Amino acid sequence: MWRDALVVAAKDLRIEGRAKVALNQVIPYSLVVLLLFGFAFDQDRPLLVQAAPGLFWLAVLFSGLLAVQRSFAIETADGAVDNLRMSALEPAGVFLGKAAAVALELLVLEALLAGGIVVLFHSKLAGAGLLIASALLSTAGVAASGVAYGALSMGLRVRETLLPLLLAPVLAPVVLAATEAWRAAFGLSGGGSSSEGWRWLGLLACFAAIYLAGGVLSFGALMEET
Amino acid sequence: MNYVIAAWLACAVILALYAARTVHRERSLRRSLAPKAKPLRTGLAPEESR
Amino acid sequence: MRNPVAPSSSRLTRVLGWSALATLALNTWWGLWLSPPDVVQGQFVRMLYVHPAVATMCYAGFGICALASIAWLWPRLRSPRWDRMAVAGAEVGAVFCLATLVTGSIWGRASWGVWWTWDARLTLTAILFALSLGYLALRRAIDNPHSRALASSMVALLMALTVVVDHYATSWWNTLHQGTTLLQPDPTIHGWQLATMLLSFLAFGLVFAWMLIHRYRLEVLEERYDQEGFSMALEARRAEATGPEATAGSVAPGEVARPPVEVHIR
Repeated sequence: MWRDALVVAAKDLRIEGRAKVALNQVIPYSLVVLLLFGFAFDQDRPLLVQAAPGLFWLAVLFSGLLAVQRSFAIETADGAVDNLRMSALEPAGVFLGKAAAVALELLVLEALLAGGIVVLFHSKLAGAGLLIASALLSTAGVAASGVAYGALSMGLRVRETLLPLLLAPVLAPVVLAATEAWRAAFGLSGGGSSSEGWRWLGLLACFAAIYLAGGVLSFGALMEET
Repeated sequence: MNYVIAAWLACAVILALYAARTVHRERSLRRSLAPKAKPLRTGLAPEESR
Repeated sequence: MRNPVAPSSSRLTRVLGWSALATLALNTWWGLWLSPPDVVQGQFVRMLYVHPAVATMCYAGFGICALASIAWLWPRLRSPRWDRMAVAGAEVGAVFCLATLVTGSIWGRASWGVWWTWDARLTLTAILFALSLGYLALRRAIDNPHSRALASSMVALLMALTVVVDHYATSWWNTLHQGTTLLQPDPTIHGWQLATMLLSFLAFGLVFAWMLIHRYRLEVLEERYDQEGFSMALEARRAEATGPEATAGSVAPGEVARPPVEVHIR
């Protein structure tokens, strides 16, 4: 399974390397979203500093939707998904591979967005341990749930609108927990110190675990049916 | 007190609309399937075949 | 002669339906007139006779959906009945969820002057509603009954687990910001108030059961229509096309007699 995952992840990333869709389209999109947030908040500086963690994770969510859509778009084009089914690859491995590729793309995006909020919103990055840990767990959760629900909607005509509708409420706890973790790391949550932030990690870990397990167990059946 | 009435009314409207819609859909489907309508049996869904 | 359009009720739902209406009427009478206004909350206590019951039925509906989905996924238990029960539970649950949000919002406006508070339970209910809309949209998007049942049961299960995470997320989030918990049950509730509240649970419970059964039946009918409706329409077209020729009895000169086309659907 792990070898299959690596094969699929490598394939997806190689496609990305050649087509450069994430690099040329999704990342600029996310940065523009940050810019738009600035307009929406009327460049209110103290407010932007307070809101920065939340806006960061919102931008990640919106970009994540695109990244997942893209991950499945490359499969449905030219009927590639049939090749995937007929190959000897284990479905669970396909799931993990696709999720890993999406996660990697998102991590690169997050690094850039972190720079974005420093520049645009005058955020002061702090609490590196908590920041990185929560980012890793959140990204795992976003990628796993995205690929799981993406597989469901892959064959459907309405997938462009259905996937966001399915995924956005599902990712609500991730946005919530990741924002709170980052707020604690930045020292923005008032009262509690950084120690407050660590319990959100538990939540993020649970979420990621649910969707990693769920995806691994269900991907086979989903690939058969859709 | 107006708020109380509003809440009760809103709830009633939502539930009534849904009930009406469901029964309406049932009736129109039965009409479309009419030639093959099976006799009513008591139970959860009388026309269930399995 | 058998009535070609069978009514959509049976003895069970007639009994359910009428008792639901009766208890609802009783609940309204008790709730809005007989039971006294509260010492603390005044008239607003009457919200207690709608909101908690409706919220509970909402959770019941979603709970039924989750359990039915698990049952469908369980290897030896699989049956279309579970899938029908799942969609019935989800849809009726969603309707009650909407009612919960609306009554909760109005109660908030009445008591606290705002249409929305980021109260843990209200927020959780909002997320639940959004999840249910996604579930129902997914179901509408898949035509094949088996694929639909498979996809939606998995989604229901995943969503159920997510809701557990959501519960903790929203309650931690709420205590972090020291939000007011709008809907603490009044610990001193007793007498008429308690009786009426219990009655409301019975009334809305009956309404819920009635709706669930009818939605279940609707699902059965939809399935039958999908299977048979198409071939029936085809037969009707065929009858139209061959009818005039059949009554004429013979083939008109210059035309070739054609045997009826056999079309096998599925």
